[in-house]
Amino acid sequence: LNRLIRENDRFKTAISYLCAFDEDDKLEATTLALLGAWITSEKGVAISSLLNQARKNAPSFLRDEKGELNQKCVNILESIPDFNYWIEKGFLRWSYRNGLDSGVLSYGCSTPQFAKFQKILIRQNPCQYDDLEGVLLS
Amino acid sequence: MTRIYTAYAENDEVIKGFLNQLIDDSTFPEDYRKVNNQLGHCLGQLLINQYSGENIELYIACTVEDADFLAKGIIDVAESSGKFGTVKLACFWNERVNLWGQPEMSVAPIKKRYREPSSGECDQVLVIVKSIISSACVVKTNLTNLINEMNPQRIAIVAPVMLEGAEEKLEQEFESTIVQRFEYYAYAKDDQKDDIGNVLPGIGGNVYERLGLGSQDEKNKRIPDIVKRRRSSLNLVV
Repeated sequence: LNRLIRENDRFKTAISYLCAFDEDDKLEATTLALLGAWITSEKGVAISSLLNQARKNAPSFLRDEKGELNQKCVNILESIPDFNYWIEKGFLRWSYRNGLDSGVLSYGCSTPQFAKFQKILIRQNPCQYDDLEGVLLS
Repeated sequence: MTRIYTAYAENDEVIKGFLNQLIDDSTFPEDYRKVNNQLGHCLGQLLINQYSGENIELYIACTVEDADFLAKGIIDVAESSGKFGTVKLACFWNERVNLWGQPEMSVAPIKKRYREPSSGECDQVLVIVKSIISSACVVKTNLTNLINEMNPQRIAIVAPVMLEGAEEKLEQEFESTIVQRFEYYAYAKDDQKDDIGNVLPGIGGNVYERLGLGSQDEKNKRIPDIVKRRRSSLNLVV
């Protein structure tokens, strides 16, 4: 599968429309989540049901246009020196010191896990990256 | 189950002793960590013998669980030898999942990455370090991530123990122009796994647990000391 993603541009482009990120590891996770949903579904299943089923297999990284950060979280993240973040197709992505550290939250912004992440962030209210780092991994 | 020692270990009783300590259930986590570090020293010396040169950038890539132990051993030896132009580190936090409960549908997407910038002046040797290579899923993921951004002409795949057939599994995942750069360094090869996927005798079970790092979730919340130390000493223009 890794090789298919690396070598077949048409396949990669198609799966990129569905995945929140353009990196091979996330594209592979999305592909396998979809493949698993397809294999285990009845014949003639609706595309929406297939996507919902695939989404249940975290981390699927299936794109999601819903969800956003609340203002308190925005204020906290924007106050951290050398830290950048953005919402990419419904997922939070971040970078510290020009990519020396970087990462994503493997759950989308509309999920209960993301709500929990926001609660922890507000409760811990980190002022610098060293304190934020653990929250990003929670 | 059959263990075969490779040419790097078959006549070395010290290395065999370290491997035996790993598979000994009575080895405490603190000692297990030390043994991994010592194996890192040995593997580091092996890399010096193979690749040293003042124009060489030795780029070590490891997972969070191996960073402070096996990888640190390699880095310490490589840096203190003074035989490389520079030594760099990338560390990955992978979220390993068997989708649908199927081992053959295993993925290990990257949650977080620490990656030191290359010097840009040296020939790169990329060294993928792992305490054990079995399905090669994590190795494949992290290697793919790095070679999409850098172009090392030599790629060393380094692990104290590998499962028989892991090399072929890894090579299936890459085009021939990448595969021809692979060079493998392992001390032992085993040929069996247990019901939950641990190689027998391998490294004595689940590496997170044996190192005393807890579950996958727990180890993925950890920031290795080597990452903290190197990050704070890096002077980067932001």
